[in-house]
Amino acid sequence: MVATMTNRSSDDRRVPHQHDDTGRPLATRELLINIGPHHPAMHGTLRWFMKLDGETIVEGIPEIGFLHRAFEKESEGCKYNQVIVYTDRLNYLSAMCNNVGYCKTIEKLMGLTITPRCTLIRVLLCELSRIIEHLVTIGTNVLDLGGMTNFWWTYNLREEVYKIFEKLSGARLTYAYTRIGGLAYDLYDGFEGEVKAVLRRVYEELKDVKGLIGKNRIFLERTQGVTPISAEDALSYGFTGPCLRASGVDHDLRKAAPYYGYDEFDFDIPVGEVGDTYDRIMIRFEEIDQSMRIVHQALLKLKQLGPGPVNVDDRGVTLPKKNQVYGSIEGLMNHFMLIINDMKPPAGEIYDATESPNGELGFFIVSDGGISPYRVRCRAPCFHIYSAAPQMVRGAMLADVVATIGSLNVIAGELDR
Amino acid sequence: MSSIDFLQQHHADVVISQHVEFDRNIVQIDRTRMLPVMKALQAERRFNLLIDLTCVDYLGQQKPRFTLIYELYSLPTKERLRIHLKTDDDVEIDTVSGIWRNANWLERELFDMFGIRFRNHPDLRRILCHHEFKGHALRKDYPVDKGQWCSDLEELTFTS
Repeated sequence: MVATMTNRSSDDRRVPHQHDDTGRPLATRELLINIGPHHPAMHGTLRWFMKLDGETIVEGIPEIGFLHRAFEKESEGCKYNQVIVYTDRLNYLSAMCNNVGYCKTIEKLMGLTITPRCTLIRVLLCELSRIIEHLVTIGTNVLDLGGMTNFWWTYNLREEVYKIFEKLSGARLTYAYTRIGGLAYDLYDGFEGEVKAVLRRVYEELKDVKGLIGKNRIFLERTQGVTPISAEDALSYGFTGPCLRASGVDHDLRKAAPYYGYDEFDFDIPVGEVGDTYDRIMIRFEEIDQSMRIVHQALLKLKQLGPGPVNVDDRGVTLPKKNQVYGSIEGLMNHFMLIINDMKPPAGEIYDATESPNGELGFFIVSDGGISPYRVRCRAPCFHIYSAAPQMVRGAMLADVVATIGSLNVIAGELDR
Repeated sequence: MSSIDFLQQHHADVVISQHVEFDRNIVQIDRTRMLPVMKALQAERRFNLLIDLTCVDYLGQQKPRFTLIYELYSLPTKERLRIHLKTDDDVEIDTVSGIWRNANWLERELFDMFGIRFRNHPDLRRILCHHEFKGHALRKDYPVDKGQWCSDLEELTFTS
Protein backbone atom coordinates (compact mmCIF):
# COMPACT_ATOMS: atom_id res chain seq x y z
CA MET A 1 0.00 0.00 0.00
CA VAL A 2 2.64 2.48 1.02
CA ALA A 3 5.49 3.31 -1.26
CA THR A 4 8.84 3.90 0.36
CA MET A 5 10.99 6.63 -1.01
CA THR A 6 14.64 6.14 -1.65
CA ASN A 7 16.17 6.42 1.75
CA ARG A 8 18.37 9.32 1.09
CA SER A 9 20.33 9.75 4.26
CA SER A 10 18.76 7.36 6.70
CA ASP A 11 21.96 5.36 7.24
CA ASP A 12 23.45 8.02 9.43
CA ARG A 13 20.26 8.34 11.42
CA ARG A 14 20.63 5.23 13.53
CA VAL A 15 18.98 5.87 16.87
CA PRO A 16 19.28 3.18 19.56
CA HIS A 17 16.14 3.29 21.63
CA GLN A 18 14.97 -0.31 22.12
CA HIS A 19 16.65 -3.24 23.77
CA ASP A 20 16.89 -6.92 22.92
CA ASP A 21 16.41 -9.81 25.38
CA THR A 22 19.86 -9.39 26.85
CA GLY A 23 19.43 -5.67 27.41
CA ARG A 24 21.68 -4.57 24.62
CA PRO A 25 20.35 -1.63 22.63
CA LEU A 26 18.88 -2.53 19.28
CA ALA A 27 20.19 -0.48 16.44
CA THR A 28 17.08 1.00 14.85
CA ARG A 29 16.81 3.76 12.36
CA GLU A 30 14.26 6.30 11.35
CA LEU A 31 12.25 5.38 8.33
CA LEU A 32 11.35 7.89 5.68
CA ILE A 33 8.11 7.10 3.99
CA ASN A 34 6.09 8.72 1.23
CA ILE A 35 2.30 8.42 1.02
CA GLY A 36 0.33 9.71 -1.89
CA PRO A 37 -0.57 11.65 -3.92
CA HIS A 38 -2.28 8.63 -5.48
CA HIS A 39 -2.94 6.65 -2.36
CA PRO A 40 -6.58 5.68 -1.66
CA ALA A 41 -6.44 7.05 1.87
CA MET A 42 -5.10 10.38 0.67
CA HIS A 43 -8.46 11.30 -0.86
CA GLY A 44 -7.14 11.87 -4.31
CA THR A 45 -4.33 14.33 -4.37
CA LEU A 46 -2.63 14.78 -1.03
CA ARG A 47 0.97 13.83 -0.45
CA TRP A 48 2.77 13.27 2.82
CA PHE A 49 6.42 12.67 3.41
CA MET A 50 6.99 11.25 6.84
CA LYS A 51 9.78 10.44 9.19
CA LEU A 52 8.87 7.46 11.35
CA ASP A 53 10.31 6.01 14.49
CA GLY A 54 8.69 2.60 14.52
CA GLU A 55 5.09 3.48 13.83
CA THR A 56 5.28 6.86 15.52
CA ILE A 57 5.52 9.95 13.41
CA VAL A 58 8.50 12.10 14.23
CA GLU A 59 7.66 14.63 11.59
CA GLY A 60 5.32 14.79 8.65
CA ILE A 61 5.35 17.25 5.79
CA PRO A 62 2.30 17.56 3.56
CA GLU A 63 2.61 18.69 -0.01
CA ILE A 64 -0.44 20.19 -1.67
CA GLY A 65 -1.24 21.78 -4.99
CA PHE A 66 -1.74 18.66 -7.11
CA LEU A 67 -5.28 19.75 -7.94
CA HIS A 68 -4.47 23.42 -8.52
CA ARG A 69 -6.55 24.61 -11.47
CA ALA A 70 -5.99 28.36 -11.12
CA PHE A 71 -9.56 29.18 -10.11
CA GLU A 72 -8.61 32.70 -9.09
CA LYS A 73 -6.61 33.45 -12.24
CA GLU A 74 -9.20 32.00 -14.61
CA SER A 75 -11.99 33.95 -12.92
CA GLU A 76 -10.28 37.23 -13.75
CA GLY A 77 -10.96 36.57 -17.41
CA CYS A 78 -14.59 35.53 -16.96
CA LYS A 79 -17.80 37.44 -16.68
CA TYR A 80 -19.46 37.43 -13.29
CA ASN A 81 -22.04 34.77 -14.11
CA GLN A 82 -19.44 32.53 -15.75
CA VAL A 83 -17.49 32.21 -12.52
CA ILE A 84 -20.40 30.28 -10.97
CA VAL A 85 -19.43 27.25 -13.03
CA TYR A 86 -15.92 27.34 -11.57
CA THR A 87 -17.23 27.58 -8.02
CA ASP A 88 -18.88 24.18 -8.50
CA ARG A 89 -15.43 22.68 -8.70
CA LEU A 90 -14.16 24.12 -5.42
CA ASN A 91 -15.78 21.96 -2.80
CA TYR A 92 -17.40 19.39 -5.05
CA LEU A 93 -19.18 17.68 -2.18
CA SER A 94 -21.41 20.67 -1.62
CA ALA A 95 -21.31 22.63 -4.84
CA MET A 96 -24.62 24.32 -4.01
CA CYS A 97 -23.04 26.09 -1.04
CA ASN A 98 -20.25 27.42 -3.25
CA ASN A 99 -22.76 28.67 -5.81
CA VAL A 100 -24.72 30.41 -3.09
CA GLY A 101 -21.62 31.83 -1.39
CA TYR A 102 -20.30 33.36 -4.58
CA CYS A 103 -23.64 34.75 -5.75
CA LYS A 104 -24.35 36.22 -2.33
CA THR A 105 -21.08 38.15 -2.48
CA ILE A 106 -21.76 39.56 -5.93
CA GLU A 107 -25.33 40.42 -4.98
CA LYS A 108 -24.05 42.35 -1.98
CA LEU A 109 -21.54 44.10 -4.21
CA MET A 110 -24.34 45.12 -6.59
CA GLY A 111 -26.80 45.96 -3.82
CA LEU A 112 -29.36 43.41 -5.00
CA THR A 113 -31.99 41.97 -2.69
CA ILE A 114 -33.08 38.51 -3.76
CA THR A 115 -36.70 37.44 -3.54
CA PRO A 116 -38.01 35.71 -0.38
CA ARG A 117 -38.71 32.53 -2.34
CA CYS A 118 -35.17 32.44 -3.70
CA THR A 119 -33.79 32.98 -0.19
CA LEU A 120 -35.73 30.04 1.19
CA ILE A 121 -34.79 27.75 -1.69
CA ARG A 122 -31.12 28.66 -1.23
CA VAL A 123 -31.29 27.91 2.49
CA LEU A 124 -33.01 24.63 1.79
CA LEU A 125 -30.50 23.53 -0.81
CA CYS A 126 -27.54 24.60 1.31
CA GLU A 127 -28.79 22.51 4.20
CA LEU A 128 -29.40 19.51 1.95
CA SER A 129 -25.82 19.97 0.72
CA ARG A 130 -24.59 20.09 4.28
CA ILE A 131 -26.35 16.80 4.95
CA ILE A 132 -24.78 15.04 1.97
CA GLU A 133 -21.34 16.50 2.58
CA HIS A 134 -21.38 15.28 6.17
CA LEU A 135 -22.66 11.89 5.03
CA VAL A 136 -19.72 11.58 2.66
CA THR A 137 -17.26 12.78 5.28
CA ILE A 138 -18.49 10.25 7.79
CA GLY A 139 -18.68 7.47 5.23
CA THR A 140 -15.20 7.94 3.81
CA ASN A 141 -13.69 8.57 7.22
CA VAL A 142 -15.02 5.32 8.59
CA LEU A 143 -14.06 3.59 5.35
CA ASP A 144 -10.49 4.74 5.88
CA LEU A 145 -10.66 3.09 9.28
CA GLY A 146 -11.84 -0.16 7.72
CA GLY A 147 -15.62 0.12 8.03
CA MET A 148 -16.90 -0.55 4.55
CA THR A 149 -20.61 -0.96 5.27
CA ASN A 150 -21.04 2.59 6.50
CA PHE A 151 -19.58 3.84 3.28
CA TRP A 152 -22.26 2.10 1.21
CA TRP A 153 -25.03 3.19 3.52
CA THR A 154 -24.09 6.86 3.59
CA TYR A 155 -23.42 6.89 -0.13
CA ASN A 156 -26.84 5.38 -0.79
CA LEU A 157 -28.41 8.23 1.13
CA ARG A 158 -26.34 10.76 -0.74
CA GLU A 159 -27.52 9.21 -3.98
CA GLU A 160 -31.12 10.00 -3.04
CA VAL A 161 -30.28 13.67 -2.56
CA TYR A 162 -28.30 13.62 -5.80
CA LYS A 163 -31.40 12.44 -7.62
CA ILE A 164 -33.27 15.48 -6.38
CA PHE A 165 -30.43 17.82 -7.33
CA GLU A 166 -30.16 16.20 -10.74
CA LYS A 167 -33.85 16.69 -11.37
CA LEU A 168 -33.51 20.28 -10.23
CA SER A 169 -30.40 21.39 -12.07
CA GLY A 170 -29.63 18.72 -14.66
CA ALA A 171 -26.31 17.76 -13.08
CA ARG A 172 -25.36 15.39 -10.32
CA LEU A 173 -22.26 17.04 -8.98
CA THR A 174 -21.66 20.41 -10.61
CA TYR A 175 -25.00 22.14 -10.49
CA ALA A 176 -24.33 25.80 -11.37
CA TYR A 177 -27.87 26.24 -10.12
CA THR A 178 -27.75 29.76 -8.79
CA ARG A 179 -27.56 32.89 -10.87
CA ILE A 180 -26.58 36.32 -9.71
CA GLY A 181 -29.88 37.72 -8.50
CA GLY A 182 -31.66 34.39 -8.27
CA LEU A 183 -31.71 30.83 -9.52
CA ALA A 184 -31.51 29.07 -12.84
CA TYR A 185 -34.96 27.52 -12.41
CA ASP A 186 -37.71 27.31 -9.84
CA LEU A 187 -38.37 24.06 -8.00
CA TYR A 188 -40.14 21.29 -9.85
CA ASP A 189 -43.53 19.81 -8.96
CA GLY A 190 -43.33 17.19 -6.27
CA PHE A 191 -40.08 18.55 -4.85
CA GLU A 192 -41.43 18.81 -1.33
CA GLY A 193 -42.63 15.23 -1.20
CA GLU A 194 -39.33 13.88 -2.48
CA VAL A 195 -37.29 15.88 0.00
CA LYS A 196 -39.47 14.72 2.86
CA ALA A 197 -39.09 11.11 1.76
CA VAL A 198 -35.32 11.50 1.63
CA LEU A 199 -35.21 13.10 5.06
CA ARG A 200 -37.24 10.23 6.46
CA ARG A 201 -34.71 7.79 5.00
CA VAL A 202 -31.76 9.80 6.33
CA TYR A 203 -33.34 9.88 9.76
CA GLU A 204 -34.01 6.15 9.82
CA GLU A 205 -30.80 4.92 8.20
CA LEU A 206 -28.50 7.17 10.18
CA LYS A 207 -29.59 5.21 13.22
CA ASP A 208 -28.11 2.13 11.57
CA VAL A 209 -24.92 3.96 10.70
CA LYS A 210 -24.57 5.17 14.29
CA GLY A 211 -25.43 1.69 15.52
CA LEU A 212 -22.48 0.24 13.63
CA ILE A 213 -19.90 2.60 15.05
CA GLY A 214 -21.36 4.01 18.27
CA LYS A 215 -20.11 1.18 20.48
CA ASN A 216 -17.64 -0.33 18.06
CA ARG A 217 -14.42 -0.79 19.99
CA ILE A 218 -12.17 -0.63 16.95
CA PHE A 219 -13.77 2.62 15.87
CA LEU A 220 -13.61 4.14 19.34
CA GLU A 221 -9.99 3.21 19.89
CA ARG A 222 -8.98 4.46 16.48
CA THR A 223 -10.67 7.85 17.01
CA GLN A 224 -10.98 8.77 20.69
CA GLY A 225 -8.09 10.84 21.89
CA VAL A 226 -6.50 10.69 18.46
CA THR A 227 -4.89 13.92 17.23
CA PRO A 228 -6.81 16.33 19.45
CA ILE A 229 -6.44 20.05 18.92
CA SER A 230 -7.19 22.60 21.62
CA ALA A 231 -9.56 25.49 21.06
CA GLU A 232 -6.69 27.95 21.31
CA ASP A 233 -4.62 26.15 18.69
CA ALA A 234 -7.62 25.69 16.46
CA LEU A 235 -8.31 29.42 16.48
CA SER A 236 -4.69 30.22 15.86
CA TYR A 237 -4.78 28.04 12.76
CA GLY A 238 -7.94 29.75 11.53
CA PHE A 239 -10.25 26.78 12.02
CA THR A 240 -13.91 27.34 11.25
CA GLY A 241 -16.89 25.07 10.89
CA PRO A 242 -17.31 21.62 12.45
CA CYS A 243 -13.60 21.21 13.18
CA LEU A 244 -13.58 24.37 15.29
CA ARG A 245 -16.82 23.47 17.02
CA ALA A 246 -15.46 20.01 17.80
CA SER A 247 -12.77 21.76 19.85
CA GLY A 248 -15.46 23.41 21.92
CA VAL A 249 -15.79 26.83 20.30
CA ASP A 250 -19.37 27.83 19.76
CA HIS A 251 -19.00 29.69 16.48
CA ASP A 252 -21.26 29.40 13.49
CA LEU A 253 -21.86 32.20 11.00
CA ARG A 254 -25.51 31.20 10.78
CA LYS A 255 -25.81 32.35 14.40
CA ALA A 256 -22.95 34.84 14.70
CA ALA A 257 -23.88 36.86 11.61
CA PRO A 258 -27.21 35.50 10.40
CA TYR A 259 -27.85 35.80 6.69
CA TYR A 260 -30.80 34.63 4.60
CA GLY A 261 -33.06 34.75 7.65
CA TYR A 262 -31.24 32.00 9.52
CA ASP A 263 -32.15 33.79 12.75
CA GLU A 264 -35.79 32.90 12.09
CA PHE A 265 -35.05 29.20 11.99
CA ASP A 266 -35.03 27.09 15.10
CA PHE A 267 -31.83 25.07 15.30
CA ASP A 268 -28.89 24.47 17.62
CA ILE A 269 -25.14 24.55 17.20
CA PRO A 270 -23.60 21.31 18.45
CA VAL A 271 -20.25 21.75 20.18
CA GLY A 272 -17.61 19.14 20.99
CA GLU A 273 -15.42 18.91 24.05
CA VAL A 274 -12.05 17.34 23.29
CA GLY A 275 -11.48 18.24 19.67
CA ASP A 276 -10.20 14.79 18.75
CA THR A 277 -11.06 12.74 15.70
CA TYR A 278 -14.05 11.22 17.45
CA ASP A 279 -15.56 14.63 18.20
CA ARG A 280 -14.99 15.79 14.65
CA ILE A 281 -16.91 12.79 13.31
CA MET A 282 -19.69 12.87 15.88
CA ILE A 283 -20.33 16.57 15.51
CA ARG A 284 -21.19 15.91 11.90
CA PHE A 285 -23.90 13.46 12.92
CA GLU A 286 -25.38 16.17 15.13
CA GLU A 287 -25.18 18.76 12.39
CA ILE A 288 -27.07 16.47 10.03
CA ASP A 289 -29.90 16.36 12.58
CA GLN A 290 -29.91 20.14 12.87
CA SER A 291 -29.86 20.60 9.11
CA MET A 292 -32.84 18.28 8.79
CA ARG A 293 -34.71 20.52 11.22
CA ILE A 294 -33.90 23.55 9.08
CA VAL A 295 -34.98 21.81 5.87
CA HIS A 296 -38.34 20.89 7.41
CA GLN A 297 -38.88 24.46 8.53
CA ALA A 298 -37.82 25.82 5.15
CA LEU A 299 -40.27 23.51 3.38
CA LEU A 300 -43.04 24.76 5.64
CA LYS A 301 -42.09 28.38 5.05
CA LEU A 302 -41.99 27.80 1.31
CA LYS A 303 -45.50 26.38 1.45
CA GLN A 304 -46.75 29.34 3.46
CA LEU A 305 -45.05 31.78 1.08
CA GLY A 306 -46.61 30.24 -2.00
CA PRO A 307 -45.39 30.62 -5.58
CA GLY A 308 -43.52 33.72 -6.58
CA PRO A 309 -40.56 34.96 -8.61
CA VAL A 310 -37.13 33.48 -7.90
CA ASN A 311 -35.16 36.09 -9.81
CA VAL A 312 -34.83 39.79 -9.08
CA ASP A 313 -36.85 42.02 -11.36
CA ASP A 314 -33.89 43.87 -12.84
CA ARG A 315 -33.30 43.82 -16.58
CA GLY A 316 -29.63 44.58 -16.06
CA VAL A 317 -29.16 41.38 -14.08
CA THR A 318 -31.74 38.73 -14.94
CA LEU A 319 -32.11 37.24 -18.38
CA PRO A 320 -35.61 37.75 -19.84
CA LYS A 321 -37.92 34.75 -20.23
CA LYS A 322 -37.56 32.75 -23.42
CA ASN A 323 -40.99 33.70 -24.79
CA GLN A 324 -40.00 37.35 -24.50
CA VAL A 325 -36.66 36.68 -26.21
CA TYR A 326 -38.29 34.94 -29.16
CA GLY A 327 -41.47 37.00 -29.18
CA SER A 328 -40.38 40.60 -28.82
CA ILE A 329 -37.53 42.75 -30.07
CA GLU A 330 -37.04 44.29 -26.60
CA GLY A 331 -36.64 40.85 -25.05
CA LEU A 332 -34.20 39.78 -27.75
CA MET A 333 -32.08 42.92 -27.34
CA ASN A 334 -32.17 42.57 -23.58
CA HIS A 335 -30.94 39.00 -23.82
CA PHE A 336 -28.26 39.91 -26.35
CA MET A 337 -26.94 42.87 -24.41
CA LEU A 338 -26.85 40.96 -21.16
CA ILE A 339 -24.92 38.09 -22.72
CA ILE A 340 -22.46 40.30 -24.61
CA ASN A 341 -21.97 43.16 -22.17
CA ASP A 342 -23.00 41.39 -18.99
CA MET A 343 -23.61 43.07 -15.69
CA LYS A 344 -21.19 45.65 -14.39
CA PRO A 345 -21.05 45.84 -10.60
CA PRO A 346 -19.76 49.13 -9.19
CA ALA A 347 -16.05 49.40 -8.46
CA GLY A 348 -15.05 48.36 -4.98
CA GLU A 349 -13.82 45.52 -2.87
CA ILE A 350 -15.94 43.21 -0.81
CA TYR A 351 -15.51 40.19 1.40
CA ASP A 352 -18.56 38.15 2.23
CA ALA A 353 -18.81 34.74 3.83
CA THR A 354 -21.29 31.95 4.34
CA GLU A 355 -21.17 28.96 6.63
CA SER A 356 -20.38 26.11 4.28
CA PRO A 357 -20.35 22.52 5.60
CA ASN A 358 -16.59 22.81 6.01
CA GLY A 359 -16.46 26.19 7.68
CA GLU A 360 -16.38 29.81 6.66
CA LEU A 361 -16.42 29.96 2.89
CA GLY A 362 -15.57 33.50 1.89
CA PHE A 363 -15.23 35.29 -1.39
CA PHE A 364 -13.16 38.42 -1.71
CA ILE A 365 -14.00 40.27 -4.90
CA VAL A 366 -12.39 43.39 -6.30
CA SER A 367 -14.38 45.03 -9.06
CA ASP A 368 -13.05 47.78 -11.30
CA GLY A 369 -16.48 48.47 -12.75
CA GLY A 370 -15.92 46.27 -15.79
CA ILE A 371 -17.61 43.09 -16.95
CA SER A 372 -14.97 40.81 -15.37
CA PRO A 373 -13.92 40.80 -11.75
CA TYR A 374 -10.49 42.37 -11.22
CA ARG A 375 -9.64 39.88 -8.52
CA VAL A 376 -11.49 36.87 -7.15
CA ARG A 377 -10.23 35.29 -4.00
CA CYS A 378 -11.78 32.25 -2.41
CA ARG A 379 -11.24 31.79 1.31
CA ALA A 380 -11.30 28.02 1.47
CA PRO A 381 -11.93 26.71 4.99
CA CYS A 382 -9.93 23.51 4.65
CA PHE A 383 -6.79 25.31 3.49
CA HIS A 384 -6.49 26.79 6.97
CA ILE A 385 -7.56 23.58 8.68
CA TYR A 386 -5.08 21.42 6.79
CA SER A 387 -2.21 23.73 7.69
CA ALA A 388 -2.56 22.48 11.27
CA ALA A 389 -2.20 18.85 10.23
CA PRO A 390 1.63 18.67 10.52
CA GLN A 391 1.38 19.76 14.14
CA MET A 392 -1.55 17.47 14.87
CA VAL A 393 0.01 14.27 13.58
CA ARG A 394 3.37 14.76 15.28
CA GLY A 395 3.74 11.96 17.81
CA ALA A 396 0.73 10.07 16.49
CA MET A 397 0.81 6.72 14.72
CA LEU A 398 1.03 6.41 10.97
CA ALA A 399 -2.52 5.04 10.75
CA ASP A 400 -3.80 8.04 12.72
CA VAL A 401 -2.88 10.31 9.83
CA VAL A 402 -5.49 8.60 7.71
CA ALA A 403 -8.14 8.96 10.40
CA THR A 404 -7.20 12.59 10.95
CA ILE A 405 -7.25 13.69 7.32
CA GLY A 406 -10.66 12.10 6.91
CA SER A 407 -12.08 13.85 9.95
CA LEU A 408 -10.67 17.22 8.93
CA ASN A 409 -12.56 16.75 5.66
CA VAL A 410 -9.83 18.02 3.39
CA ILE A 411 -11.36 18.55 -0.03
CA ALA A 412 -8.60 18.87 -2.59
CA GLY A 413 -10.73 20.93 -4.97
CA GLU A 414 -11.13 23.58 -2.33
CA LEU A 415 -7.68 23.20 -0.83
CA ASP A 416 -5.81 23.72 -4.09
CA ARG A 417 -8.42 25.76 -5.97
CA MET B 1 -14.18 51.81 21.89
CA SER B 2 -13.95 50.54 18.37
CA SER B 3 -10.78 49.17 16.89
CA ILE B 4 -10.52 52.22 14.67
CA ASP B 5 -10.41 54.47 17.74
CA PHE B 6 -7.92 52.10 19.32
CA LEU B 7 -5.61 52.35 16.32
CA GLN B 8 -6.02 56.13 16.15
CA GLN B 9 -5.21 56.50 19.83
CA HIS B 10 -2.33 54.09 20.26
CA HIS B 11 -0.87 53.68 16.78
CA ALA B 12 -1.78 56.94 15.08
CA ASP B 13 1.65 57.25 13.48
CA VAL B 14 1.25 53.91 11.70
CA VAL B 15 -2.24 54.50 10.32
CA ILE B 16 -2.07 56.02 6.86
CA SER B 17 -5.74 56.17 5.96
CA GLN B 18 -9.04 54.70 6.92
CA HIS B 19 -12.43 54.25 5.26
CA VAL B 20 -15.56 52.14 5.34
CA GLU B 21 -16.65 50.00 2.41
CA PHE B 22 -19.66 47.66 2.48
CA ASP B 23 -19.95 47.97 6.29
CA ARG B 24 -16.31 46.97 6.71
CA ASN B 25 -13.73 49.15 8.41
CA ILE B 26 -10.62 49.27 6.27
CA VAL B 27 -7.39 50.68 7.66
CA GLN B 28 -4.24 51.18 5.66
CA ILE B 29 -1.11 50.99 7.75
CA ASP B 30 2.58 51.58 7.25
CA ARG B 31 4.25 48.34 6.17
CA THR B 32 7.52 49.00 7.98
CA ARG B 33 5.85 49.26 11.39
CA MET B 34 3.03 46.79 10.94
CA LEU B 35 4.16 44.01 13.25
CA PRO B 36 3.51 45.74 16.63
CA VAL B 37 0.11 46.86 15.35
CA MET B 38 -0.84 43.32 14.37
CA LYS B 39 0.37 42.03 17.72
CA ALA B 40 -1.69 44.64 19.54
CA LEU B 41 -4.78 43.84 17.49
CA GLN B 42 -4.46 40.18 18.34
CA ALA B 43 -3.62 40.62 22.01
CA GLU B 44 -5.52 43.73 23.04
CA ARG B 45 -8.41 43.82 20.57
CA ARG B 46 -8.79 40.02 20.64
CA PHE B 47 -8.75 39.51 16.87
CA ASN B 48 -8.09 35.83 17.36
CA LEU B 49 -8.92 34.66 13.83
CA LEU B 50 -6.93 35.61 10.78
CA ILE B 51 -9.75 34.88 8.37
CA ASP B 52 -7.81 35.55 5.23
CA LEU B 53 -4.61 37.03 3.93
CA THR B 54 -4.55 37.88 0.28
CA CYS B 55 -3.17 40.33 -2.22
CA VAL B 56 -4.29 42.40 -5.18
CA ASP B 57 -1.95 43.40 -7.98
CA TYR B 58 -2.73 46.92 -9.22
CA LEU B 59 -0.13 46.87 -11.96
CA GLY B 60 -0.03 50.17 -13.83
CA GLN B 61 -2.79 51.65 -11.67
CA GLN B 62 -1.17 52.21 -8.32
CA LYS B 63 2.31 52.57 -7.00
CA PRO B 64 3.46 50.51 -5.15
CA ARG B 65 1.68 47.84 -7.15
CA PHE B 66 0.60 45.32 -4.50
CA THR B 67 -1.97 45.70 -1.75
CA LEU B 68 -1.86 43.07 0.97
CA ILE B 69 -5.19 42.45 2.64
CA TYR B 70 -5.48 41.07 6.16
CA GLU B 71 -9.04 40.09 7.01
CA LEU B 72 -9.40 39.84 10.79
CA TYR B 73 -12.23 38.55 12.92
CA SER B 74 -12.70 38.71 16.65
CA LEU B 75 -14.72 35.88 18.08
CA PRO B 76 -15.48 37.56 21.45
CA THR B 77 -16.61 40.88 19.98
CA LYS B 78 -17.77 39.59 16.56
CA GLU B 79 -15.91 42.50 15.00
CA ARG B 80 -14.38 42.34 11.55
CA LEU B 81 -11.53 44.53 10.40
CA ARG B 82 -9.55 44.73 7.19
CA ILE B 83 -5.97 45.91 7.14
CA HIS B 84 -4.39 47.18 3.92
CA LEU B 85 -0.67 47.22 3.33
CA LYS B 86 0.96 48.67 0.23
CA THR B 87 4.04 46.86 -0.96
CA ASP B 88 6.21 46.41 -3.98
CA ASP B 89 8.39 43.89 -5.75
CA ASP B 90 11.64 44.49 -3.94
CA VAL B 91 10.56 44.83 -0.32
CA GLU B 92 10.12 42.33 2.44
CA ILE B 93 7.11 42.28 4.74
CA ASP B 94 7.27 41.04 8.32
CA THR B 95 5.64 37.68 8.72
CA VAL B 96 2.61 37.40 11.00
CA SER B 97 2.96 33.63 11.27
CA GLY B 98 4.12 34.12 14.86
CA ILE B 99 0.80 35.74 15.70
CA TRP B 100 -1.64 33.64 13.70
CA ARG B 101 -0.25 30.28 12.70
CA ASN B 102 -2.36 29.84 9.58
CA ALA B 103 -0.43 32.81 8.18
CA ASN B 104 2.38 30.33 7.54
CA TRP B 105 0.59 28.75 4.59
CA LEU B 106 -1.22 31.93 3.56
CA GLU B 107 2.08 33.76 3.22
CA ARG B 108 3.55 30.84 1.30
CA GLU B 109 0.62 31.14 -1.09
CA LEU B 110 1.28 34.85 -1.57
CA PHE B 111 4.96 34.15 -2.16
CA ASP B 112 3.95 31.53 -4.71
CA MET B 113 1.28 33.53 -6.51
CA PHE B 114 2.59 37.10 -6.24
CA GLY B 115 6.26 36.75 -5.34
CA ILE B 116 5.91 38.66 -2.09
CA ARG B 117 8.68 37.84 0.35
CA PHE B 118 8.13 37.69 4.08
CA ARG B 119 10.84 38.42 6.60
CA ASN B 120 11.49 35.73 9.25
CA HIS B 121 9.04 33.30 7.67
CA PRO B 122 9.91 29.77 8.87
CA ASP B 123 9.44 27.98 5.55
CA LEU B 124 9.01 30.31 2.60
CA ARG B 125 8.59 28.14 -0.49
CA ARG B 126 5.93 27.55 -3.11
CA ILE B 127 2.77 25.82 -1.99
CA LEU B 128 0.26 25.44 -4.85
CA CYS B 129 2.41 25.76 -7.96
CA HIS B 130 5.15 23.30 -8.79
CA HIS B 131 8.56 24.05 -7.35
CA GLU B 132 10.05 24.34 -10.84
CA PHE B 133 7.47 26.94 -11.86
CA LYS B 134 8.96 30.24 -13.05
CA GLY B 135 7.21 33.51 -12.32
CA HIS B 136 4.15 34.24 -10.24
CA ALA B 137 0.82 33.19 -11.64
CA LEU B 138 -1.57 35.72 -10.12
CA ARG B 139 0.46 38.75 -11.13
CA LYS B 140 -1.34 40.77 -13.77
CA ASP B 141 1.63 40.53 -16.12
CA TYR B 142 1.57 36.72 -16.11
CA PRO B 143 -0.44 35.57 -19.15
CA VAL B 144 -3.32 33.30 -18.21
CA ASP B 145 -2.58 30.90 -21.06
CA LYS B 146 1.15 30.52 -20.43
CA GLY B 147 1.86 26.92 -19.55
CA GLN B 148 5.08 25.48 -18.13
CA TRP B 149 6.40 21.97 -18.15
CA CYS B 150 7.30 20.91 -14.61
CA SER B 151 7.98 17.28 -13.85
CA ASP B 152 10.41 16.64 -10.99
CA LEU B 153 9.00 15.56 -7.64
CA GLU B 154 9.82 18.03 -4.91
CA GLU B 155 12.49 17.02 -2.41
CA LEU B 156 10.93 17.63 0.97
CA THR B 157 13.32 18.23 3.83
CA PHE B 158 12.62 17.67 7.48
CA THR B 159 13.34 20.31 10.06
CA SER B 160 14.09 17.87 12.89
